[in-house]
Amino acid sequence: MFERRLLLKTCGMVPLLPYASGAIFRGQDLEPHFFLHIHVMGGVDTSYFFDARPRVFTAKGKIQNYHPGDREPQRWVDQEGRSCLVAPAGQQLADFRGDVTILNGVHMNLSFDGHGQNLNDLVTGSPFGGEYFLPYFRRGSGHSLEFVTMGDVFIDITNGGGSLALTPDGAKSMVALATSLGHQGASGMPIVLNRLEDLGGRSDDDGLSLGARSMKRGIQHSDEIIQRFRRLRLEIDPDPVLTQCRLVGQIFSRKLASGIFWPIYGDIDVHDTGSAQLQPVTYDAIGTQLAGIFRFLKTTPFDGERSFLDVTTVMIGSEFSRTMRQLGNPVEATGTDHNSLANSLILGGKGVKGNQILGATDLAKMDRSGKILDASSIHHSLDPHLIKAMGKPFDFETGRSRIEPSVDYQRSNYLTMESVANTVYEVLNLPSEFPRRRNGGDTAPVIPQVFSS
Amino acid sequence: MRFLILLFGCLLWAGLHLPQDGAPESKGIPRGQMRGGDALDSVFTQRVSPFGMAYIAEVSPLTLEPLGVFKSNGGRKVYTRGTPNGVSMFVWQAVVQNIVEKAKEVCDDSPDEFHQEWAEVTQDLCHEVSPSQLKELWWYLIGLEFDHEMEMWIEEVLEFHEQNPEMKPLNYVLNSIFLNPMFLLQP
Repeated sequence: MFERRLLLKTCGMVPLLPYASGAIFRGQDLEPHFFLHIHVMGGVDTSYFFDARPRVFTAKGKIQNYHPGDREPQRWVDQEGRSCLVAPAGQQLADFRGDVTILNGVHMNLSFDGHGQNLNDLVTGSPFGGEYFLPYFRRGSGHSLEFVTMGDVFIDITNGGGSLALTPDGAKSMVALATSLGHQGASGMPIVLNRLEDLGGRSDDDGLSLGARSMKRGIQHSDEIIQRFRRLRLEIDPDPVLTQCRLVGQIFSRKLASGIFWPIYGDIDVHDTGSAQLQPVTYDAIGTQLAGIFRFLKTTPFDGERSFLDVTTVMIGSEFSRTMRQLGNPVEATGTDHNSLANSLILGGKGVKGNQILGATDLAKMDRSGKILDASSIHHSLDPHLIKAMGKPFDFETGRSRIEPSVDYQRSNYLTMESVANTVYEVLNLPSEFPRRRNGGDTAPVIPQVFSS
Repeated sequence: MRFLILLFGCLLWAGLHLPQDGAPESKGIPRGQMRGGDALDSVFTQRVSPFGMAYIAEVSPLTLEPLGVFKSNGGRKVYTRGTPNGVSMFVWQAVVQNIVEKAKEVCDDSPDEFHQEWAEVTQDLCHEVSPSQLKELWWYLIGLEFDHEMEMWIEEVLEFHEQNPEMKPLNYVLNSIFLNPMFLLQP
């Protein structure tokens, strides 16, 4: 629920008017609902967030951990007694634990190891690209754009013809262009419209006539987009994350789009030792950004009763996690490689139950000699050197990890990206015509514990 | 004069007729869809400015993606975002607006960013319009095809000019030719 105390504390700092736009939505049947899809590009090492290991694992050479000193990760325990170890970057989100479900040990696409393929798979359900689900979200709700990406994103999305890439600077120039177009009108537009009318009206439907008709409709619709861009109020802050957050707020409240894909960049693809050694700083910066986003959403009013977090579903993910170390390098001077056997995703906001930790990875139990005690036979076959933490089997009824139920790898026994995606689709109330993802043959089960009601 | 214009057009036809060697793939773009950011940029680079469309319009190259793009799908390239819609028309109008603002500099100067031929073809349109000047521009930018469409466009431009004698022609001439379906759409 909306945290009035927190809001009152901060509303002096946040200009209310540009966001207090619930009035735009009032009088309509549509309950406001937005989706913010945050993706940390490069493959997050989840041990630097919500799937850390005790320091003794580093001392025994099992996992790199470049945090200085002996500071142990914190154990977070949810209301059902499920827990995870949280590294300093993850601890920056402590104020928002009550708003999120942390999903650990999520299996990604095991057949592909590349960034592009796994990013495509996460976003579209296919490593080769396909349809993104956001154009199906809130279809017909009167938003001008199908979705917005915060900057340029290289994903093979085959739909989304009505989407735009926007940064704060890009949005500013769009506002300027819309303003100049709006004031002057496109000079010579009557000539254009007459030509489109003539060509589009021809009976010989040879493609060009259809194209001309689409152009004419597009120009008419572009008027609405131009008007909405003209209403954007962009406030630049010295903190670039806050500036981007304000753009998010404006895009949602001005009805430009109901969904945003926001890529976050950092030097986290640390195959080399030098970059790996900088991870504490890198992840600290990413944690600060994520906390800043949640803070904005939670403390900024959408209308008189609700914060932006009350009306926005948030998903944070990455392509995959990373290996615990590299073979052949000492643990104090190793990079890390890609690990699709596990990932962490965070769901929060509207429709999502908070204060939950679901799923877990193995390679978390070790005897005094350093022998790993919790790797299954399946794990040994998929990762013989035991350098990849692997998501444990998951019981979808109880929401708890369970004993390995079989000797063969079956995706239906695990928390998978397919299940996470199908769960998000339900939270977003996507129409049934949008196909649900499959764990091989069967539709992947949703994770019922995620739903807030 | 008419002969010279025809000769000029023929030379352009021989030298610059679309598609050029090395031009972006147009195979797979359905007729009547926008011909794509890459192809439009290629034409623009050959005819208007060697610096390319994104540079002149002061936008990121990916801003042109809503004008049509090849994407990978299931291991094969498919053409997507080619159907004109509100977003693409907003983007295209905005891009054209910026291009025209820059192109108007030819009326006072000979800016280095533009091809010399483009500057010559457009300079004449700073204050006056005539059928021959408009033909020259159409042939230079679009080619010798689509005679009928060219005639219709010229007729519309002249009529607009007659009704709006106070307006500077280059603005609406360039807007209306860049927004002409024969330029933007796959023929």
